[in-house]
Amino acid sequence: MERAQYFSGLIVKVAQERDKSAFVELFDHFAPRLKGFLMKQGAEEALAEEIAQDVMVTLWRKADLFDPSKSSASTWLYRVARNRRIDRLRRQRSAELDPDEPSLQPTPLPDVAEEMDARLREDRVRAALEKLPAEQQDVVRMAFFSGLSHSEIAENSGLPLGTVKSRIRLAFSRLRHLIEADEAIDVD
Amino acid sequence: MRAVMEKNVTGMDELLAGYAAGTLSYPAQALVGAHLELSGRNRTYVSSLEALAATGLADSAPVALSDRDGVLDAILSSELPMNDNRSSADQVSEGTDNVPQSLRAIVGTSMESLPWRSLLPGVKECKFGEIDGCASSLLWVRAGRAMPSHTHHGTELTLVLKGGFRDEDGHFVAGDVSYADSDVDHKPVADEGEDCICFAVTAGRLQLTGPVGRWFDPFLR
Repeated sequence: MERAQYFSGLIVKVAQERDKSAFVELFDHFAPRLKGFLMKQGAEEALAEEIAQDVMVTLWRKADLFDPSKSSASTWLYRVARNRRIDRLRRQRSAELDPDEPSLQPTPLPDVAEEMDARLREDRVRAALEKLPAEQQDVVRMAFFSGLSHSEIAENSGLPLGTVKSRIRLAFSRLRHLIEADEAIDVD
Repeated sequence: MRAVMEKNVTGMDELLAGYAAGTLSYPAQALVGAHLELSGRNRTYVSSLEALAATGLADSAPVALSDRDGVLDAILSSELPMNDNRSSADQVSEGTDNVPQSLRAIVGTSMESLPWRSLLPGVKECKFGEIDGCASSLLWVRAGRAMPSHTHHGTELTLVLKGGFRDEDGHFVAGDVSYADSDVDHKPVADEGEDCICFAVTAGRLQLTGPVGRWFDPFLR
């Protein structure tokens, strides 16, 4: 995936040289996609835009936490965006809780996955998805890419809720087998 | 242990998928995050699911920002904070205060200084209130002691942070997640030789169908 490598290279330039033109290129590519992705997952436009901005701030300031050998640019940015969105939602809800609760300490939700040694290979996991029966692929796509709930998937597809649930269960269990079988072969 | 993981493998896989998608209740998200920090067992699977979810971002149709130039200017002209990048990762230390990063927003950084409440001799608890209809708490059981029998209503996820315990489902050590239904009568006993500290997430009584459905419908919002 040359394109993915190209974007990884840009993040490395931001980390090592504070390269502004590399950052602008990343910004122009990813910020509108992040906004579109978050809106597709149900965020209102203003919130989607704020989170996209937050992710770009993180990219500018913490690009050195990005390890191109462990993840692609889009996976790294996806995680930052997911954690940022969760953190935002938590803060909104927290306003209704007792302010003395220890859970309200303003610690940001850390990016756990960045510390991990698992190698991300998007082409491989895509290939694993392609090996699923078409109807299982569809529910995984709807769940992951569109952020739809089980009942929304049932509504969109016209399938009974029970069928959607069992397809999702089968799909994730088969994905695990495919991914782990891949790992077992690929001893580096 | 193995039997438990297999018995609950469906729920666990969906829970992990919900974590990757970011659709779990906040305390369940934090629990799974801490599980991934402490145990390598599911990291590959979750990383792969995250990579899969990220292809949705890569393929997503762009929506223009309302003030692209202004936002870019603000970021590029902002002062860079010095030395804050690695500090949180370096704080990981040994001992009881080794709180996984994923739990720090709920638990804080020091377990010792929490307002622990004694339940029984050798058993203390600290509750953190409800978020998203799920209550979370820490349980500290002295080595060899029995934990209080569970009185929770609904489903409970328990992550072992330190030490270990044994119950009729098997033996659980640091990083293991145990899943208990309300109808399971648990009598866990902490291992000899080391105190056992667990982080538990329980579905709130009032929203029984919501959060429970959420855990095992991880995509439900």
